[in-house]
Amino acid sequence: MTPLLELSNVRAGYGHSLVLQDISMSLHEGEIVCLLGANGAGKTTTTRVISGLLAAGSGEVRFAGNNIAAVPAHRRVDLGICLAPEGRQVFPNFTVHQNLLIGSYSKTARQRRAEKFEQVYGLFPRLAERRAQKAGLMSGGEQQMLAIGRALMGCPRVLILDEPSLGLAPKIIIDVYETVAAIAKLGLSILFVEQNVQAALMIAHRGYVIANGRIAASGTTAELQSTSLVQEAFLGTKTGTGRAPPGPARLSAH
Amino acid sequence: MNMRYVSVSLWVAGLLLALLTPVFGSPTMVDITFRTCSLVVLAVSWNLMASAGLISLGHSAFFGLGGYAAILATNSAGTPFWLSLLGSLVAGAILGLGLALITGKMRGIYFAITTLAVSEGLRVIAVMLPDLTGGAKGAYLAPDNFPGAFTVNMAMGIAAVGTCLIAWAISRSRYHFAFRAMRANEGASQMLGIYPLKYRAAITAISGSVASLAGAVEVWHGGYIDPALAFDLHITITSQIAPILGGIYTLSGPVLGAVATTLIGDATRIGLGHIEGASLLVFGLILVGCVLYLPQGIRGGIAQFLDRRSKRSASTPMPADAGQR
Repeated sequence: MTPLLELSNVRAGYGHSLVLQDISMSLHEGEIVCLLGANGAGKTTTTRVISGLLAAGSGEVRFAGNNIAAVPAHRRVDLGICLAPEGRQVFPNFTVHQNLLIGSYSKTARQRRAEKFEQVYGLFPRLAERRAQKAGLMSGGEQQMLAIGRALMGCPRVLILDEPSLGLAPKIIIDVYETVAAIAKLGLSILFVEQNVQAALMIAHRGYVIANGRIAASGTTAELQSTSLVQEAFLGTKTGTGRAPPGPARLSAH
Repeated sequence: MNMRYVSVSLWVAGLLLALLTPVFGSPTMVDITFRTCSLVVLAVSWNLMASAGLISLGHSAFFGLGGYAAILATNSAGTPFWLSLLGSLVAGAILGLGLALITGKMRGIYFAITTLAVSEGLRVIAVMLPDLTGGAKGAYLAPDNFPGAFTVNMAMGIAAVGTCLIAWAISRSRYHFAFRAMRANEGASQMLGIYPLKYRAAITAISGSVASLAGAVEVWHGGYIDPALAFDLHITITSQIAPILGGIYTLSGPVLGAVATTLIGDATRIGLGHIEGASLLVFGLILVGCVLYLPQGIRGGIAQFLDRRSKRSASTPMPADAGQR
């Protein structure tokens, strides 16, 4: 079966600095996949390449079997690639409802707007309560929910979440991830970026570890938890030299 | 009395003034209305761009281009009045489109500087091509096609009303949302399926074409154009003072601001004209005062006043008028 989203040997960067050296990864229909890695590893750059905000220098990005290199960012939303960006980036002067409304701006999404509103307000009752409030006046956790809700309004087939736990209190992070798990039950494919390894492995099926712009490790959640690769990628240290084996509890670095 | 009634009655009053003054008004009133309508067109046009996050420091580029397009078309080919206005609309739209394409993803100060450069560039070009434009000496309108002062005054009234209608139509459409989103965060709006360049090109073309129209009618009104007059920095400045004074990003703000700017300017000029420099000083002080005490412009001030009054009179507090119309 061809994966819904596939990156093969992608290289990309900004100006002369090459951030992604060689990224190959895939996401199948209905899967939840996490991208792990330390600061500056290339996680956000990967999401930018997938959503079309940054062109890949070489390599291929395929969606449902088609190379989408030439498809500009705003058209990728129409295809069903929707991003909740790093740092949320909700429109602070728009109300909650207006933020969601503009999430369904693309042509395909506009036709299913009513249905999507129902879905999003069902998933996030908090947003329904606050629909008339200015988004900028909400807490970080609520803004994150809004950013996810806004991405959902675009009728995604692949939902990309870039560090949904960024800057949130641990309790709120659990809330956010419980909602992500609930979204996954709707049959969406989800790709999300995390530094918070424990939170990520809680809900993901598979994961990739990015280090220095390359895929350093990949596997199912259980495999990643049982190897030292994650820790190596994060801390840059070679473990397994007779020191204590890294257990999941120790993976909560950062 | 709430904002809605005030707003509707002010719009109706403005519409009647713009369209009936050329018919019934005294010469002084006709003159004031003409200049107000001209500024309404420029202010609404400037505000359209600003609403999409594009701050223009070169609206005189459109104004001057429109003026030259009209005068050149008429003098060289005998183009009649209304057709020359159409030509200016097209010329302004093309310049607007070109501006959007040149500036690409530039935002904020970079976009502003580019517009300033375009305006200055056009002024220099107009000076450097004396065979075409009459150079620094300027050009006089050939009187053969002059449709009469009444028609010209009427045209400016229609232009003002039409510009407001365009702005209103945009504010009612979903494009309004796209523009607001672009103003807030162009990157985020792109992630939601909005193609910024398309909307930029559209808004600069619309804004540019109406501003050119104002320039064209002004040329028919004055009968003369030269590069310093056409691409005057003063035009750029007043086209942004008016919306800021009246209420930026709103529909009625630029119109209120245009009326206020014209009236304050005239009052200080007539009242203090005999003392050198005093009129400008007072005009400036009034503007500073307005910006300080009416941060949301005249429109915001009216809304606040009505809100406070209704709260005082009614026992149950009324919700503040949050809509930006």
